[in-house]
Amino acid sequence: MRSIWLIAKSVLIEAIRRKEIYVIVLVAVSVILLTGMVKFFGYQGMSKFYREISLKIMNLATALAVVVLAARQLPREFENRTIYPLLAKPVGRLPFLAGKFLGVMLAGLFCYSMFVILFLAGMWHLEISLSWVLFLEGVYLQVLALLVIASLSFMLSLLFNIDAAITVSVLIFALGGTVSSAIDYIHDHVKDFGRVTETLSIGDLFMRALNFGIPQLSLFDLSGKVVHATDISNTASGLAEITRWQGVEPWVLGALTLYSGAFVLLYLGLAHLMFMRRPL
Amino acid sequence: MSEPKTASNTPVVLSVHDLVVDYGRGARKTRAVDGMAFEVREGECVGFVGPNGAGKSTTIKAIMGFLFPTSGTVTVFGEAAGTVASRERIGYLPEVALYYPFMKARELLELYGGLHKMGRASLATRIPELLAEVGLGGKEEVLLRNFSKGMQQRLGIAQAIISDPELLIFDELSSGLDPIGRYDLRQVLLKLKAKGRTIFFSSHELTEVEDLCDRVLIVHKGRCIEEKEIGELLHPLNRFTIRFSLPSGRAPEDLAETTAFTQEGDSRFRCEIVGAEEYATILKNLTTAGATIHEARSEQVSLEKYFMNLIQSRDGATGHIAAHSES
Repeated sequence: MRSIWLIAKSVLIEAIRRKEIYVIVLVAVSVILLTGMVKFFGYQGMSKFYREISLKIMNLATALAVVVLAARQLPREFENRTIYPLLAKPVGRLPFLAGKFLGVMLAGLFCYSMFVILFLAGMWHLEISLSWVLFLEGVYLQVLALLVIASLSFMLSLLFNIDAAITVSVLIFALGGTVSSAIDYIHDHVKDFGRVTETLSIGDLFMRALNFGIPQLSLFDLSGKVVHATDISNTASGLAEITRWQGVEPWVLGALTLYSGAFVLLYLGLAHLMFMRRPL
Repeated sequence: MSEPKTASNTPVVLSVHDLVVDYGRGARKTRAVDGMAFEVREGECVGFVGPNGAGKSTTIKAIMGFLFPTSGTVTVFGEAAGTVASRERIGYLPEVALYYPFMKARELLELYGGLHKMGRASLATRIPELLAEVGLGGKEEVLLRNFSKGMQQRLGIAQAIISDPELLIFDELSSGLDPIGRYDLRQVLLKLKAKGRTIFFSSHELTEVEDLCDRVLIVHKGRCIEEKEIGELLHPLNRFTIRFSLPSGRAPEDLAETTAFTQEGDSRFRCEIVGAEEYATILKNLTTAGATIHEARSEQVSLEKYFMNLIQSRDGATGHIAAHSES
């Protein structure tokens, strides 16, 4: 366990000192600040606009940071040959991978926590209300999504180069739902053909495998609910805040935890299989 | 009474048997190591030399578990190469390595020492000592991106010996070091050797191998083609040189009829002699004749000449052992 922590700490130190995280945070915060200055929507419109833009940017920017960090870890170790002195120490390849992954997640959480603090500071400054239960559930689900996307990027970096791993991971994060719909569409066609010719059933299986192999990360995005959870409405006693959405059911959170866990195990397991017998 | 420790009765620390390593697959397959076999015993300092592409680094990578042998076995302290248990007792310096540029020297050594299960307290005392030993004293808090190539190599040596390992494996020992760095490194290695540590290193600097090693392994085309004790290899040749001055009126030819003398000054001469008996006779005659002897030396084979001759003969080129003078 100490080996894992030491390797994770080295990843975290590098992530913090490289300052790339700060650039992502700075750009994202600039956009959020600009959002906060837009007042022509009126109070109600502005609060929703601020929440929506902020949450979307927070999620996307953190995912981007995590994907880039995860995709770089192993190829950079090979390129710079830093892996040799490290793996010459009494540490197995599995703890090495686990340490790298933990480091990426810690750096991702560091980045995300900066966003959360800035977001809440903005909310407080603009006196915008928030559904705390939904917000905290959204944060939890976003962390699960980050785990999935980081493990995917990690695994892809062993399969492709850094750029390809980043591109595919970001595409899956941003367009996973669309890709899945497209696969569904193609799958239906393949199935139709499959009824005519038996041989295409392999294609059918392939599409199914592909569809299940791509994580549906839109399931982890509660930003829409957090944005529209509260609203201002005209009541008999005047303008009042009403709650449209309650928190997510615990069983849903549990199911999503298992769902993300399965993907993380799958991707990290594949990464370990590829790395275990890889000549250095 | 316990038997004195010699190379032949100390335990085998590193054993390589019939090692074969192939790179690539199918038509693109290249055999980098082809039946390498040798052993290194506790307390030995062994040099691993060979031309570029001979399979030195590949063999070292197989010892460290970075590569997987196509066939053959490698064991370190009786454990299969590459296992965590085998690496616990090894200090390794790679041929070329960069260290995390965004870490400080202290942080890097804390990481490597920590992986060797060293505690914080022992690291706190060990790191400044170690950095001073490799010539990086006072650089604990400097970011590694500000380190020169030579400083990185010195740091590499520090990380290799941080846990005071029993076996040191250095791939290209003094690569990237300036003459002062090489001298410092030699002092570090001599200290480790005096402590009884086993040292195995590859190097292109054959004088370094001559100076440090007890034994040398010469590799060529993926095989170990020669394994010799340094003392045995650097045996004196049966050739001698004497430089002397004679009192006026004496001719060197009076001293030995069959030996050729070369005049180097008014009364200064040089002669080259083959055979110890002849050498002793001429020395005696010179002394009797009242000559002043400026230099009398035997000649030895250098590792460099021996190596060149061996490789050339293996490659089918014409070559001969040239003598290298050693005072």
